[in-house]
Amino acid sequence: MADPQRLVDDPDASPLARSLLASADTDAPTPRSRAAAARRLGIAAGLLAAGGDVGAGGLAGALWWKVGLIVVALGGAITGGAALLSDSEPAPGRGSAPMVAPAAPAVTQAAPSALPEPLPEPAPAPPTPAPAPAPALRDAPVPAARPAHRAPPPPAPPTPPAPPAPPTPPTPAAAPAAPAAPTPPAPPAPAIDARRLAAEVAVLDRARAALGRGDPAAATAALDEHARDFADGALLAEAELVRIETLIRAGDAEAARAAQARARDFLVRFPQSPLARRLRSLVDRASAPAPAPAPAPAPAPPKESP
Amino acid sequence: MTEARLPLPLAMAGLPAAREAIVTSTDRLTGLFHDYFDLVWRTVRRLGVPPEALDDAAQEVFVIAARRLAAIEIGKERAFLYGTAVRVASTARRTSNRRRRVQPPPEDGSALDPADTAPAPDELVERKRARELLDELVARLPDDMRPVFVLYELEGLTMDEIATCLEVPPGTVASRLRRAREAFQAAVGKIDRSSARKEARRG
Repeated sequence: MADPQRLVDDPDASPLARSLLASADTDAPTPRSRAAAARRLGIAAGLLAAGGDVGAGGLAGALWWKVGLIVVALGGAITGGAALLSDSEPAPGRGSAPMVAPAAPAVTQAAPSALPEPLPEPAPAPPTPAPAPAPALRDAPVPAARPAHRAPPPPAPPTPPAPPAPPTPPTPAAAPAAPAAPTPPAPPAPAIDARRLAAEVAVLDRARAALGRGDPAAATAALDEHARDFADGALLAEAELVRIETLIRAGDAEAARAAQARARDFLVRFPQSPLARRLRSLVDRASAPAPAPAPAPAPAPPKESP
Repeated sequence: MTEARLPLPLAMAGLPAAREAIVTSTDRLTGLFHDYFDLVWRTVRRLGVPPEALDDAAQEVFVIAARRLAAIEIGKERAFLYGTAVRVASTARRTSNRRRRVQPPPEDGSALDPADTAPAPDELVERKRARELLDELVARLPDDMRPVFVLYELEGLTMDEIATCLEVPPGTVASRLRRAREAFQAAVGKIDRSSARKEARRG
């Protein structure tokens, strides 16, 4: 059965439909969400050995290798536990509990279960420390697009200053993500620069809009502007995708070759990005009808390092 | 370091194969978490799990994956996680819908009127509004169509992949997708006029 063209890429779809669908492109968890998830997984598995790590570093540090450790520990407990340890049941219990109750059920020793969203204070989870996650445990590159969502790398050091913060009262059910860990107020909190991100989004929206109305020159101009002003931007993958689409739309052989080269490069840089999947379908479509001179862009192996 | 955390009975038994299996599955779960946490998170988000339940839902998917790790075929991890995310999201949506009714989208399309009230630059505001509107439109899709629509249109899966993830026949995926796209486009059509106004203003 032939898959229909995705609406977001379908020139016949309404521009509104396309832009609505494209607005989902930047969906991604915050580093804090990742860290909290790993931490709570650890807690749920009853792994208090890891809990120490996690309480101290899971939120405040949010270092990926620690997250990895926790997961390693979790895996050990769970896989072993499935057969052997009926006393570490919290995981299943947690699992089947109504998941909206955000607090880990009984096991709140390490920290009072972070709550997902309402966390305005920018303390924990410094986004910058390890753009390449889990170096030791796994060298498969986690999509570079994700780290890119964190604003331009401010020069904040990973963890060094960890001034003890006033411990937040651990109210199990309602504690607003109180990191029972030191909450360094200022240093490692490179919050996303909303203004800069907004400016970057604006440039890309302009590029996409230009592309949408069939004006590749304007799209290219906007993309060049993006490349110039946001070389370390948060939306590099998105920009690259628009660039490739622009090249494809240009329709000449040279642009097609450039598009394919960039597409290959893209798949290496952002293998897990949802945009990578969009890119594949984009390129597939482009190379199918048009007698493109270059070889079909092989879907790059997902695990190469750039 | 992994070794230190081996469950005691196994470690004492000194069964190399068992230990090997544990280390392997440990690595595997670690890998799943690293490779797919973002994917799972954004999928449950796109499926309409409300913000306050997002982290829990994403976590839930991995708890389930951890429990059933041995049953997840190599190479089918992504499909498993997508399928699990769909089920978890469905439960989470129901739970939270009981708590608060989904806000109906404004009939007059005012969600698209630039209001200039927020401090953020317009473009970001527009993007945010678009995202909210997309959420509403997706939320209004019938329950059986929503996952197919999200996995196809937003996650970029093929229909075959979706059939695998959801464990439904390909023909079912095709018909749900068709109906979902019709419903989505019809809904978009209704608000397209105000969108066109906005576009015009933007130049």
